[in-house]
Order: sequence, then structure tokens, then C-alpha cells
Amino acid sequence: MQDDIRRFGKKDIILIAVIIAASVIAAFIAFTTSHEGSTVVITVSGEEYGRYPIDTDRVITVDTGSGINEITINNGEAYVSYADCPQGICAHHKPVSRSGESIICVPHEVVIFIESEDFEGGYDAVSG
Amino acid sequence: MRKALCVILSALFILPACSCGAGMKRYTRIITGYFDTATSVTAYDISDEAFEEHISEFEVLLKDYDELYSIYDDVEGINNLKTINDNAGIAPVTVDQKIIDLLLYGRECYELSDGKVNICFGSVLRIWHQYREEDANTLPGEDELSEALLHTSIDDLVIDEAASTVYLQDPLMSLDVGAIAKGYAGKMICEYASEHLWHDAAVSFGGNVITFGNKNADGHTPWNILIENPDLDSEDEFLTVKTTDNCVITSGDYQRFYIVDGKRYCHIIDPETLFPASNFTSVTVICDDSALGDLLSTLLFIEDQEEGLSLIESLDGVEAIWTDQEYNVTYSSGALNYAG
Repeated sequence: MQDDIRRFGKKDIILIAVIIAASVIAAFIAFTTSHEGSTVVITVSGEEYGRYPIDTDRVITVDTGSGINEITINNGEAYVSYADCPQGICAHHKPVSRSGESIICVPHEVVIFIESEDFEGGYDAVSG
Repeated sequence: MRKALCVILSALFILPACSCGAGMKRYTRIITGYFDTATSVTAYDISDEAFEEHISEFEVLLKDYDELYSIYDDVEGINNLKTINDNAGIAPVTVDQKIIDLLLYGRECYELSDGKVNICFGSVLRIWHQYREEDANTLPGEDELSEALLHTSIDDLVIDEAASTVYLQDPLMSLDVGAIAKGYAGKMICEYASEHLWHDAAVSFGGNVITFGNKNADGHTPWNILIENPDLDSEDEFLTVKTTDNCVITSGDYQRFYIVDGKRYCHIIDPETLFPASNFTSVTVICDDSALGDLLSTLLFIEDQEEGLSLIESLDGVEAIWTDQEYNVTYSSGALNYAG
């Protein structure tokens, strides 16, 4: 209807500017708060043993009752620094840091898993 | 016009905030204690409660198949593969249909592989298993292995489908389904899971990966599957496969092995030499049937490159990647569509 068509004016420009500004701020927040490999989660026989931020260096000694696994978090990655399981496969595994990566000690049922908000760069499963 | 502009701009503002399919959240759980390995599930579900319920159901299935297909553990009240082995030459054993189905599939595998993948090879495999477990500093003797070979005939496996019984005619023979059990059980479990538990999931049964639906539950993003680097000393990422509704199954020599005089002896035994196969350090098969994929990854690990490549090229929709002992990688013609 003729009456509703008004000229594109100042109010419209302000509205568009506000919405764009809000989008930019939201995107900025989204991109800066998600980062790779934020938490190292350790479980023993399916029960959560602990959660540790990957950017804080520490050594965690897990005594499972059937054996020991020592996990080191250093320089933004986690690895098994010592294990007394028969083959020591977990101790040979390369350090993990990306979302979805894990190191598993099958005989001791110890799982070290990297959890983070950023899934895009992460793996969904490992075939090997 | 201003109203329309408002609506459009507001929608653009809101949409980027959710990367998952509407209302779905991503969960990952790693389950140990079954099939002598770890099983990981990455799935999209509607809530924490729903996921806990579904993963419990999943674990029940895992336990069920693990108990039935075990050749090492007795399970009270259940006749499993160990029960069949313990009764070799003695009597038929009544078993669950899931065991009948696995063994019938095993027979098919024998035909498909010209006898190279043989679920009745237990007497030979058991010897190697023992040496590995004890981390012996010697190899099994040729005599020991040749004697065991005499008790590996698939014709001595008697399956009575009507009575639901299995009987091993030769008292010295035994079943070993290691080459196909995870792939077969995984297939059965995921058929159930995709119908009743989750629309979108990537499951790894000790490295046998089965995927259905999509990453992000968005109807189009492929799953991102990492193939483990067979070089244990390397810190590099190896290969990744991007795919949906497909399986990625890898056989390798870098997890179950022992070392004698500096040489590695793995768990996949070539039935012709009676010794571990050593052409490759890793073979990955990509196909939509994980039971077939498990058979093929074992077969390709044993066969030489030419035979294996020829077989894969003859199969529609199946691709493979071979890594030899010098870490040279060979792709089947379609493998690069998925991998890189």
C-alpha cells in the first residue's frame, strides 16, 4: 500500500548498523573463546578420574590397582611418561593435544582424552 | 521493506551461533573392558540424560557380543566360543544365534579369501599368542607350527542351524575369530544403534570405525577419521578420511607384537608360511560393510600388493590404503576421494 512505503532513512541505517555490530561482536567472542584441546580428561575403568586444563603443566600419577600410569601435561600436550603395563604401548603413543585425540592403556583401562569446544579441527574417531 | 530487512538481518545474526543440527549436542565416550580393546562412541543426542540412557544400552550390546565371541573367558550360564573350543571332539554345543551367524559368516570369509582368512586356525594362532604374551625371546619351532596346522580344517566345523549347535570334529582344533569378530559385532551393534539410539554417530571398535549420519548432525558434514600412524616414533599426523555412512578399518603390526633379535613379529599370521605377515605395517579398508572391511583388511595385510590391489579394484565401492615397512603409501584408485 502506498502509505507504508516510506523513504529509506536514518532509522533504518541505525538499525542495520546495530545488527551488524552485534553480529561482529558475537563472532569475535565465538572465535576467540574456542581453542584447540582445552581439557585433558582421564578415566579409569569408565569412571572419570580427573579433568585438567591442557595449558597448565602437571604430572598425574594414576594407580589403578592393576598398575600405574603416569601422565604428563606439558607445553599444551599430554602423554604417558611412565606405565608398567606389559607392552607399554600407551607410553609409546605420541603426545595428544587436539579435540578427539586419545591415548588408551587397554590392560589398565586408563583413557586419556582431549575434550574441547572446537570440534572442527578435531577427529571424530581413530582407525588403527 | 524495513520489517523484512529486520527479519533477514536478525536471522543472519542468530544462525551462525549453532553449528549443530537443531537441539543436538555432541558427546564422546570411550569404553574399555570389551574385545580386549577400547571402543569409542562420538554421537549427537538431545540431552545428557538421553545420551547416558543410550550409551548404557550400547554398552549392554557390547558386553553381550564380547561374552559370546570370547575364546579366552568362561562366562557363567553362557555357551560361548570358548565352550565350543573346550568341547572339540567331545560334543556339539548349543549356542546363541549370534554365534551361529558369526560362524556362517566365517565360512563365507574362508571362501572369499581362498582359505587365507580361516576361523578354524586357532591351533596355530594360539601358539603365536602364547609366545607374544610371554614376550618370549625365541620363535615357535617349524615342527610345532606344522603339527598345529594339521588341525585347522574348516570342514571339521559342523554347524547345525536347525538345532542351533556347533561341533568341532577334531579334538585338537579350535576357533579363533580375531580377524572378523570386531567387524562383525560392530556391524550388528551399529545396525541397532542407528535405528534405536542415535541418528548421527562415529564408533570405533578398537580401531574398526563405523559411521552413520553426519558430523554436527547437520545432514551434510562428513566425519573426520584419523588413520593411526604406524610409525610409533613419529609425531606426525598420518592420514585422515572424510566420509559418511561408511567404515574405516585398519589392520596393523604396531600394536600386538613381540620382538626377537630386533625384529617385530605381529599377530596376523600368513597361513602359507605359518609366520606373521610382514609385507605391510598398516592396511586400511574403506567400505560400507564393517564385517567385509574387517575380512578385507586382514586379507590385504597377508596378500602381496599386486593381489590385494587387483582384488580391491574389482570390488565396487571398496577402497584401500597400504603402508609398507618403509612407510611408502599406496592408494587404490578411489581412495584419494576420501583420504589425504
